Amino acid sequence: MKAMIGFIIVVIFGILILFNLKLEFGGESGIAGEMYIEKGVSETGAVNLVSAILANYRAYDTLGETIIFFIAILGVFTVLKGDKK
Amino acid sequence: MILNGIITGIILILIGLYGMIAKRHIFKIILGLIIISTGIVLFFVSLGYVNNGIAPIISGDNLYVDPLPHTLMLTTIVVEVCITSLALVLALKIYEKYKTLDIKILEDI
Amino acid sequence: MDIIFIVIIPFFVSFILSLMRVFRRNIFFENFLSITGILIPFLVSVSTFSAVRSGEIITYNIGGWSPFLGITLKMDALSFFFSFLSLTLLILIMIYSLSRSPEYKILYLLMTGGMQGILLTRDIFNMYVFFEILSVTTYILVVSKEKRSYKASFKYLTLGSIASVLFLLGTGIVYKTTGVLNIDIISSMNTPQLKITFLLFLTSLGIKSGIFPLHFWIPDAHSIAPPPVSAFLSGLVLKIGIYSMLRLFYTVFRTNFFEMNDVLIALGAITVIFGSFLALSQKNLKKMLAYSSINQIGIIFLALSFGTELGIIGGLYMILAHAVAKVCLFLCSGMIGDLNLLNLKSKPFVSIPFFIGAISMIGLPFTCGFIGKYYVCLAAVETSYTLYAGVILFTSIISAVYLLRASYYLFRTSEDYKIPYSMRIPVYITSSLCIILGILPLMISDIVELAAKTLGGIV
Repeated sequence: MKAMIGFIIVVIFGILILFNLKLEFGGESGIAGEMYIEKGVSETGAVNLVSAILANYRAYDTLGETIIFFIAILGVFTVLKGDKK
Repeated sequence: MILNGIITGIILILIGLYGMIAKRHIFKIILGLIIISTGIVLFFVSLGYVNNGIAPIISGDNLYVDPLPHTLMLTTIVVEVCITSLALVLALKIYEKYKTLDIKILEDI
Repeated sequence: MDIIFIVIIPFFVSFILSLMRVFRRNIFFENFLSITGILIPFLVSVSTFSAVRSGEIITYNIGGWSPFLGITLKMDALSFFFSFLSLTLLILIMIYSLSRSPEYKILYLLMTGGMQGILLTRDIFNMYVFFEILSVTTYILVVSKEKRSYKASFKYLTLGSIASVLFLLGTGIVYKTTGVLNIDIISSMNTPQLKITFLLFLTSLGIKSGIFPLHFWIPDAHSIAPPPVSAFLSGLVLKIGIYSMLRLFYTVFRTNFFEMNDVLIALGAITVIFGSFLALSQKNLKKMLAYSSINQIGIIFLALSFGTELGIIGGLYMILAHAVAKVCLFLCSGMIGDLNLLNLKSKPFVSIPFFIGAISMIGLPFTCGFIGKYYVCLAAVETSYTLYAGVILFTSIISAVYLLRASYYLFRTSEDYKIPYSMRIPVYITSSLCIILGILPLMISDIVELAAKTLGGIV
């Protein structure tokens, strides 16, 4: 029963997404991507653009990521400690 | 339909989604979650691909792939690890309390 | 102070609290820190009031990068409305739950930061990251002493992670079609989005805010969680999903949104009816309140889907009314021993605030809920969806039945039991806010109207 529901949902979702979505594979980079490639080295001084974006342009995201990591550690700790919470 | 990274990523997401909805065992649901996150990573990394592009480490005037989706995925991988660890801890606790990991039995209690 | 402090200060304070946890526990200092951690963002948020009211949009580019490359934070009337509302209620809930463990306070502050991050950011991927902060903390906070809470938390986690994956998939498609992640730039580019992207975001945010076919995690998670946790889950976290819908659907997915208006309105109406009938059949007070929030979320969703300015105004008033009243009701439920409807007993200091909250939920005159329902019905009549106004009024009667029944039982006094004043005062304040905002809605009407105007209705 549950397998049936899951199968139907997945098939509908799959048909919707696979036949509506015609994303080009290997096209051009987006506007933002082009800008990073163009200005990245001169603005940040990092040759590796991925680290330039990770630690400089979008450092706020990385802050969020570390906070989630912190929350997960705290969560594992509190849930395992369990009943004392 | 040509099977490229984008399509494969979406198919992986669908497989994971099926696992999460249809399977009764909690551990299999968590496996579904992991498959979904792998699919999403593949999907994003393929989005950034440029034909004949090389890794975005600037050295001269070459064609580079889009660096942004790769960066986003570094964040997403960490997030998925956190969620998976939390799900596993909850599964552990559920087993400790109910002595079963079967969703159907758990729902009836 | 810059608006980024609204997000950063709670995180910072929670780190200090967790460091303090390593050493010796000083309860006074801990309580002081956990309140200031929310009070400072609140003051920063209030300090932007006059600028926001005059129609200015306060912008902060993180790191000074251009909005194409970096992340932009913006405070406009809509963000201000949600930020002010959530911070006010979060301070009250924090005061209510001061006696809880330090881990609770740390997670609570982190959740505050995540929530404010969603409200201020204008970057889709950043919104995803902060949504994760918000939801991961709430998965943990749902866990309580009770055995069933692990099950509820796991269910919530599974659905929440499906929701965030769909959100991410949508983000990827938006990035591929437009090339940027900034919401303002995408909407100014005027590229029509694919319908499938809209559906992905709708499903994802629908799970987060509990629209009809995707609501089934709400009753479990909201009724089993500890009372203050269910208060902010129901009062605020569901509204954050609605906020993201407003932000994304009225800008990025504008065309898709107005194409699918009728379907969304019908979905909202089904949610309303479904929630109210299930709430009527519940035996447990908290479960009843959880189903009643599905009902109210339905009304909010219905109002916002009309797409007219009046509809948005009504929806925002409903959000305000429901947040204040639901927090009040759930906080009251934390002071009652036996939650079975037939065994309810309490003291007048619980039952009177509960009664006020209940009449505001029903939408009787001179309460906050009345203004909300009035505007929603007006919007329904204006757009000639008169049937839906009837649905809302009909379900108001049903909610009157179950809420007044509960408050009737609550008026039976019980034997003495002690509730500290730190728990009583937030309840008094929220219940009086229900009345004050009902009599003097002018205090916030400027902001609400400005927010509706910036989003803009059907052109």
